[in-house]
Amino acid sequence: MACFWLNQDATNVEILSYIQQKEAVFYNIQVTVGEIFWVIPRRYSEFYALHQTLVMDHGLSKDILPDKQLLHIRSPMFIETRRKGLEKYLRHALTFLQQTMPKVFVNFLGFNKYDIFFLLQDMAVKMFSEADTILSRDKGHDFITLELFALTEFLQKAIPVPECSEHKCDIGVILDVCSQLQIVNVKAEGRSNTDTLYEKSSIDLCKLQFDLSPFKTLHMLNLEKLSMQQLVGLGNLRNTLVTLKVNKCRVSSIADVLQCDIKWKELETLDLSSNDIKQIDSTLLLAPKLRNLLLNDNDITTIENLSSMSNLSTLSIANNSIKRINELHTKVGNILYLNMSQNGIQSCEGFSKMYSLESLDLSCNKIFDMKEIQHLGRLLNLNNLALTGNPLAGFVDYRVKVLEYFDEQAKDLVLDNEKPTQPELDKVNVLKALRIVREGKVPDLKINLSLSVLTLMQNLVLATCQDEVF
Amino acid sequence: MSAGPYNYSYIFKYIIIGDMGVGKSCLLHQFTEKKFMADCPHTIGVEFGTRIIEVSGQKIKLQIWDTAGQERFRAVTRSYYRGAAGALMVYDITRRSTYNHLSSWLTDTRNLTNPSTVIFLIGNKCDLEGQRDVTYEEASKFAEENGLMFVEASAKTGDNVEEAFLETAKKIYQSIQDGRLDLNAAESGVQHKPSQPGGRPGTAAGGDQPGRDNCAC
Ligand SMILES: Nc1nc2c(ncn2[C@@H]2O[C@H](COP(=O)(O)OP(=O)(O)O)[C@@H](O)[C@H]2O)c(=O)[nH]1
Ligand SMILES: [Mg+2]
Repeated sequence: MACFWLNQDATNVEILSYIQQKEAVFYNIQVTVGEIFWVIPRRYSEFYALHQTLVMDHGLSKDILPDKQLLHIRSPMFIETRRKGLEKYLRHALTFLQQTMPKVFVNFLGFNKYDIFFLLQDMAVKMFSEADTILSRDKGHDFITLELFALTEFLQKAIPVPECSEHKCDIGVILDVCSQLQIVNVKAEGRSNTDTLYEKSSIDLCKLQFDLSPFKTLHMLNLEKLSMQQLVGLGNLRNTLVTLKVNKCRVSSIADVLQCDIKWKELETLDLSSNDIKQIDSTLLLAPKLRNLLLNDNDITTIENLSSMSNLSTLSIANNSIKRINELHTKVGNILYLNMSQNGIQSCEGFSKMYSLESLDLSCNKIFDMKEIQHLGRLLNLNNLALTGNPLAGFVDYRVKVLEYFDEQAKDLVLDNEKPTQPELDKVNVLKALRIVREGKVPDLKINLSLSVLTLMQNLVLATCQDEVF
Repeated sequence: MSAGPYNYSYIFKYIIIGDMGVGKSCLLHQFTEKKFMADCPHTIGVEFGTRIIEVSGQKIKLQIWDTAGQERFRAVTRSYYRGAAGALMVYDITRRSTYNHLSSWLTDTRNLTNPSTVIFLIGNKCDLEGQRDVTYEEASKFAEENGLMFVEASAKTGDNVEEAFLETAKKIYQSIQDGRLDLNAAESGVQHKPSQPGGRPGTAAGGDQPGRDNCAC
């Protein structure tokens, strides 16, 4: 980011080009402060309005702005002359105003967006007037990396701000709000996925480091599209943070986030989805209260290091590279919700003793054989199962066949987001009776079926018997 | 298919703990199947059993976690303490070492369950009187000092097995009645089942009654 007060001598304004949009001509002002520059397009009318204020309130001489003109205003020659004139005007104004830097001028040139001091000044004003709303918002407060970087830099560097009524910046207000915030969202939105420069500037968002220490009572932190190298003082949140989400940050290991040695005392939810994590490593032990672990969209191949996580109840590892599950109940304990959709799982045998499961999502895997479902039939707490997107989901009577494995439980099992219908349950009973007949036993007459189903069943039984005769 | 399995008004979660070989799985089997399983396979990680019982006219479904006593599964089994309303802590009266380890099992239980969890101590294999290695008095004193309920039982003969499971349930039910156990608290280990089609909870309709509102229509 820029810092005007440290680079007054290295500050320059130029108008290098212009763009024509329909009726309007925008002059691209490039502001350079030390090593940073940005471009801000302005129309002549905006120059004109600025000039009026500067003349009136700040003593700028009246006749230095190129004149208003009515004719030929779109001819390239005219625009070129005006470009030069406006550039000269800006340089003049900057030299004249460089100690006072009035707000209108600052905003006109975009300092409030790209410069540490002027950005913080705006932020302080906003936080002062809106503190109550900011602190009471359920979704928490959104920061852009620039704001946190500016705050960090301002606290670390002594910035020589000239005494002037325009230059009040109450950092205390910002720090006070930060120290009370419970939910914070930080998102870096570069120009595109590959281009991390901030808007029309040379500021590389990836290179901005910022300190999280001002957040003294933070419960939830959501980070998106940052890199872990940018964060300083994440460890200071260890005693308060309950939820930590680090998404799309190219994290390559859990250890990069939880660091080492010291416990995350309150952490209950850790969401590291959409990163490059290959392994579930043992640093998770640093979060003994962890209940919810979300590792979707990573590159994990095995479930490991979770056996000691005795509070874990939700585990979500969708869209990873898990192909095989062996005796899962020896690797994770008492979990209620498991999402392993979009992996390459073919067999359900490894889930057969996950008796604690209430919800299991195995959609979009490679389960082909209907017999695999028998391994899930003894999961007596299961009330939600998803199997769509597996090869077996394309079979005739797929739902009924799956439900059959769940016996009595079938009527309470939500399969692929739908409760079984009565006809489905009737069919399950018919299949069950048929199976019993085939096994050479008499079907249990206690089975309670509607009359129509009974006739249907009789017919089916007859049909099977005939099959056997011929 | 009968109304039975859905016809209960509470779920109580139990956990059975203790050294390997003390007879945890046999106790569970004896309680759920009323049979002794002499050649019970070693428990790998965790096993599970259920049975519906009745306390003060209320049907209660017991969900019982049978854990492996081996050290290598200790990490995994610890997670099952969470949300247990009852803990059956078992030792083998013919093997003193299993009794000596009780304090470590008790520490785990106290640390990982909530204060309202009922802990019941069982001295198993009391049919092997001749090989007794721990006296009744000694264990009884230990139980008293630690505020545990206690019986000697045999998974083989079935002696006192029902009692242990039922007494635990009675104590839990009492805690609910007294308001000492908060049903709404997460991890209380007790779930209240609201009435649902298929059988009104709390009514006396038994599981073996044929043809009573058993389809959800
Ligand atoms: N005599 C006798 N043997 C028992 C009793 N309970 C269990 N056993 C035997 O003790 C061994 C271990 O039992 P098991 O239930 O697998 O122990 P666990 O490791 O605690 O689950 C098995 O060989 C059982 O047959 C009992 O009450 N009396
Ligand atoms: Mg066992």
